[in-house]
Amino acid sequence: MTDLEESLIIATINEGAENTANKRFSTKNIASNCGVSEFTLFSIFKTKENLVAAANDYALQDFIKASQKAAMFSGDITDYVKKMIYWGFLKPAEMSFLANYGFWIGKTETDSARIAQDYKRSVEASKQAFTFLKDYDDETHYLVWSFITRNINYFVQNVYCGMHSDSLAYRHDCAETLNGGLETIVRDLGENFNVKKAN
Amino acid sequence: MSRKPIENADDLIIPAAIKIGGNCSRGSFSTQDIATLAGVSEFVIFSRFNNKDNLIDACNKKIYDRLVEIHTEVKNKYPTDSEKYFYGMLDAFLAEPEMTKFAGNYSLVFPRQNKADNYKVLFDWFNLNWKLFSNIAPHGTTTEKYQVVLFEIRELVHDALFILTGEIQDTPNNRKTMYLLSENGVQKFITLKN
Repeated sequence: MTDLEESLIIATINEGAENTANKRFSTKNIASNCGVSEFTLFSIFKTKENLVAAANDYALQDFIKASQKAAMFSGDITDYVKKMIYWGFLKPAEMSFLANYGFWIGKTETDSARIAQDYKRSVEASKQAFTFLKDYDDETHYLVWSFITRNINYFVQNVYCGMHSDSLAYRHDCAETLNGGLETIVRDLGENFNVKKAN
Repeated sequence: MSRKPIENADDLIIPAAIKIGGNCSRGSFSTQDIATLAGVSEFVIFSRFNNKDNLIDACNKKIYDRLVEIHTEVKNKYPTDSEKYFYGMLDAFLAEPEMTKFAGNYSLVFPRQNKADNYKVLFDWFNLNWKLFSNIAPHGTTTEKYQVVLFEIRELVHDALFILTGEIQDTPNNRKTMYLLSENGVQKFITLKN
């Protein structure tokens, strides 16, 4: 990857992170922020879809490296998830970009070759990121990878968009949710409910 | 001479907007395309909704109302079986692909709007109906219940989208994985080796 390609990708992540519900992000701004013309941008990436895919890959590569490191230094999954949530809070633009364009969000792609290519790329990413996953078929790998990645993304994004305030307790609850799913949340809420009732 | 208002204009526009909005990449739908599909002019759309944001809000409300209907039907069918409830909801989302795809792009259950006010709107809708969701979130404060319901709906939308886009095949094994992740988290899938 050339320095210019990387600059354009980083500018895309920053621009895409600011995207609101009904606004296309501007390739003109991206090119301008890197001191080049839109013509240069499109001569490198050809289409906006390719640019978004490259930015997505770039953000996910960062995620993969962080995930490998977190797994190496974590004693259990809750610990791993906490580390990843802390990492997510250090990457506001990447997190917002992934919330807007991550591979797990609604897709309109109908080209089956492209869908297959994206899928293959995600499975490879999962195998790199989650060296601690048991041996599963590709589809299970994909589902687990997506579940962990998107939920870490949403837990962080919940704070950025004002749905939740950040606290140690919040981060702990997020880790518990990812580790134990709905059953854990509902059980914990039920236990609190019973304690309050008993008091 | 004043224009004659089109009867049930919203009933024409909103389904068309859900179809177009769900089949374009996020943020790129055209009101001209919606007008053509609905058989009205763009003027009618903007006279009814003023701007795209309001149109998206109206679609989200329509989808929320449909969600409540679907949930009620499935919950009545499987009041105590969380696994069957999950598959029933997944079937319902798959049966309405346009609604599901629009939700994937614009639903307020996904935290990407950068506007806390948007979530307040969704919270208020849930607040009117939260007792309906007692099978998913039986305990906790209303805010806690809201978070639980959001988590479940997000998971269902994502899983349905994976199947609708053809990335994941609709097999019993994949459905089980989806259910287990939602209900029990990743603990059953992961072993830290170090």
